[in-house]
Amino acid sequence: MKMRLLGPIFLTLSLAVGLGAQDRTSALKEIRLVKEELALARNPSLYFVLDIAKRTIVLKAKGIVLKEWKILKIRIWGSPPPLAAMAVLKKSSLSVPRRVKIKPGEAEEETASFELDALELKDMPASYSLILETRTVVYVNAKANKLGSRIGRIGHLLNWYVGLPLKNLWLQIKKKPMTMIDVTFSDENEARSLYWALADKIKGLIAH
Amino acid sequence: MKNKRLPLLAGSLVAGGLIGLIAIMYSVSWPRASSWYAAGLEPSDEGKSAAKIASENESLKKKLDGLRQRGYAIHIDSAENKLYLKKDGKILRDAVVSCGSGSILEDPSGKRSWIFDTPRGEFFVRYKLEDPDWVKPDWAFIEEGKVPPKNQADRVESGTLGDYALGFGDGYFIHGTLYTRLLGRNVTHGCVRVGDKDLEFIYQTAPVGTKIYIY
Repeated sequence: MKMRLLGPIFLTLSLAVGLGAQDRTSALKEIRLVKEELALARNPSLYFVLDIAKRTIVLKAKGIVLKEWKILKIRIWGSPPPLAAMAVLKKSSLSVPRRVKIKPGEAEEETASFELDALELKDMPASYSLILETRTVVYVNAKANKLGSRIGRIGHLLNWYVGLPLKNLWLQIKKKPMTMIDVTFSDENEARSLYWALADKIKGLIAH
Repeated sequence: MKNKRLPLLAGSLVAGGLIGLIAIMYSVSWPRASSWYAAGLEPSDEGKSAAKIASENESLKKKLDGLRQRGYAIHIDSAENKLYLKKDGKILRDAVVSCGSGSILEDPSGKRSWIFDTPRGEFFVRYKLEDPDWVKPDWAFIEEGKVPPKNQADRVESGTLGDYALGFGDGYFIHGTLYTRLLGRNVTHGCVRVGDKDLEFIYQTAPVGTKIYIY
């Protein structure tokens, strides 16, 4: 009889200890993240937080949320990124938005047949990668609705499931582990506006 | 008989090798819960008691909360060309605006160039002007194909900036516009153009010192 009771008690205690340890680890990780965010929030630059569990990316300043993007799907390969601020070193895409050079003497706004030649949201890529410090790459793309983007999506998935694991294997052999995070938005405009918002060298955190 | 078995054996070896490679590839890349679970913690975290963790967490969150500005704030989304005037986080007014075009202008001499982006980051309203005159900078003349005048008085232009202007540093303003049909598009030289009624509301509501967040 006693033995019968001991089993569930032991199981409950183990679970409680396990959960306690999990809560403790989560709380310690939260402290580290808030410390890092505090350091970022103390200067006037904007920063971002990619929260893997909440599936969100937020752009912030002084702890205030300026803009939030909801992630539809998130996939991960490789080792965990550090719980520390890291800068976007490069935004890499097939089509890089090009700035227009103004020709002096051609004041556009006053002409009748005005056609805008500016860098706008629609000119931003919807599929790109954010190369961060500490060997972390965030691949950003959107759910494919048109035929062209569906073909592009197949290429992306091939790269994600074949190319990148192979690359990761090679990097592991060379003892240079990487973190690869694949982020899919429900709409191309979401991906474009994130590209716009994350200016070069912007710093951010990845919460995991 | 041996000749017939050879291709089969080779095929099996190749297939086995491929399956092995795929297995290794995926096992290496798979994000292990055990390594992600405690990743980022430091040895100094080990001995902290639950009470200390809770109080440290609380105090850090308070510090972060203390950085948040209360009162009025202007948020400008330069991608969507939208401006939000907020008070304690609540939107009082949202306006369609025009932000920087991102275009480049080069001085024909080749010595100077300008990128017409609206600056990003945290700023504040430094001063407010009624019926502002625009003191045209060099680029405004170069863009028109003219030589910048030496006399300061020749640079002053009235009416271009609308009825009000809120300066936020380095020659950047939130101001009015003659080109209202272009509101919602990226057309400016870095300033933020606002329609008349919205500008009046912002001018009358946001005091000097109001934080401006541009992203």
